[in-house]
Amino acid sequence: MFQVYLPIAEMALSAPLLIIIGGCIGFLSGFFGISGGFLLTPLLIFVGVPPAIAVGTQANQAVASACAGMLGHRRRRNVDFRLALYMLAGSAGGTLVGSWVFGWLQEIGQIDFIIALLYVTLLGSIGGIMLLESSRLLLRQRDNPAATPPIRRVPELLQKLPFKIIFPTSGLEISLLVPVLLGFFTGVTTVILGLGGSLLVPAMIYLLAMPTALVAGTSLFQVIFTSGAATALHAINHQNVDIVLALALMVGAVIGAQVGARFAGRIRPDLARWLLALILLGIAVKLFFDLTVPPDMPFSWEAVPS
Amino acid sequence: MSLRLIVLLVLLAFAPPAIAQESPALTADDIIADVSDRRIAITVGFSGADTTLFGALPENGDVILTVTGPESVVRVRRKERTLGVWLNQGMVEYDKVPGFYWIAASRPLADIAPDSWLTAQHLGVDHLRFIIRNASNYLDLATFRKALIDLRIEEGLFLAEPALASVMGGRLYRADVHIPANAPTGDYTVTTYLLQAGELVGTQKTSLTLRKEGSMADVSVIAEDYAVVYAILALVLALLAGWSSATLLQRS
Repeated sequence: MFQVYLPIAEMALSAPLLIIIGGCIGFLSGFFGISGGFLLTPLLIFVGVPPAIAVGTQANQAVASACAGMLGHRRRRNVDFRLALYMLAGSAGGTLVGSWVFGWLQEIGQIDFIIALLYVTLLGSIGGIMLLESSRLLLRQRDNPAATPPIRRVPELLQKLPFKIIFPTSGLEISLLVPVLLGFFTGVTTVILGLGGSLLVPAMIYLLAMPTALVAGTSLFQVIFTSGAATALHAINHQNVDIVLALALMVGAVIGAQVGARFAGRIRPDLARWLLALILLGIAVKLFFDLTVPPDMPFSWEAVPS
Repeated sequence: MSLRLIVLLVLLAFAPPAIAQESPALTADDIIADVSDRRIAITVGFSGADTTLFGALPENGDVILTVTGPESVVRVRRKERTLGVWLNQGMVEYDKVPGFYWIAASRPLADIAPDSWLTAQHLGVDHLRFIIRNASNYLDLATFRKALIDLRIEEGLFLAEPALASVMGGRLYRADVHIPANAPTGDYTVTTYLLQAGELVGTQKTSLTLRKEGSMADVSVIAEDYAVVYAILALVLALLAGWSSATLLQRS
């Protein structure tokens, strides 16, 4: 019912289905401050969209939900623009280095293996650490509701770095190298893995010790630019952005992102962290099984430009 | 059903039995075969198309019909186990794989003509000719070929078992073809084989075009020929969607 033809993917899908998928991804994006690409890409492939087009279109959709979510957070003054701009400077460099590394891995022909390995180890270890930390905190609070969460500090090694400046919104005094390096790392992983903000969010919580309320909005501000750059690169180099598919997803995603941003302020931060940890770990476990369990259908086909 | 089909059916119904004289080999002019839509337009709401092939049979004869979609180069990959992990390793690249393949006949193919003839004519999915362009390993080609055919059948792009064309009064046939929404755009070839007692008495090729029209065509053209404009459009659209939702929901 209500099929819509996707001119780049060259297939038809149900419009209501796409709006619902977009709504769910948008909610996660607004709530956690991630791009949601690592969930949306496999979902689109599952409903029959060619993998390359799923990747390109996902980036376009992420711009819309990040923009909607960021504006939702900004209304509550939960975006640290100054910090985000330093991270952006780093991620511009990271994107360039990342695409160079990507090309090199592609040349030696091991890109699939490296990506799979990085995904499982990064998501698995970060998700695991977060889950342990937040579970411990949740349990302690259940036993003693009056207990206040411990104050997180910037790791000592990072405190020793030179060029300290003040970020008033976040109440941080820290070396400008920290956000620049974080941005650089995010840029590299976004190009190679398409991980958007999902590594940046844990890094901002644990390495920058940012107030939790500011994390999602600031990360989303960053995602607008990194996913925007990814969209442009995909559209120009590979023509794999389906604007009709993106539009159908966006209709749901921008509403979901607004709702997600609204909910983010209402839930306890340690509970939110626990949920994000569960999602990251869940993806890592799924990818691990995809890699190690014999596939039902080991064959796949792709069109080759002649 | 198009006007052309109705007119043809009416003409055939009143046609003098002259065409049914002693049957020498048919020349291209003697073959009466057509397709109800020669042009199928893809618009926003396109979810596949149905078209009808129809025509006249030779006396006590049979017909085999095929519809073949635009050919392209296809790479088939196979996941293999390396270091305990399943990764794409094996690969075979085929030249000229049809993007769509449909076949129908007035009776089961085996009853119409011998298998050797069907093989020689490349009729039926099992007899399709795929030209190998490149392969990582030449020992296992049959498995890759079968996998490609199975994948295409699953996607509704290849017909596994030939359809049966319906025959009216022993003289007219018709068969309905469903072209799914995921079929490639471009020129399709409709081939009609007329047979008598297992012998080919005539063939005819017609073409059918599947193409995007209106806004769907515009989107593709901009994406391919004006990629920078397309990228800017995609970004503006995304930012506008995000901004408008923020403004609208704030008010409510």
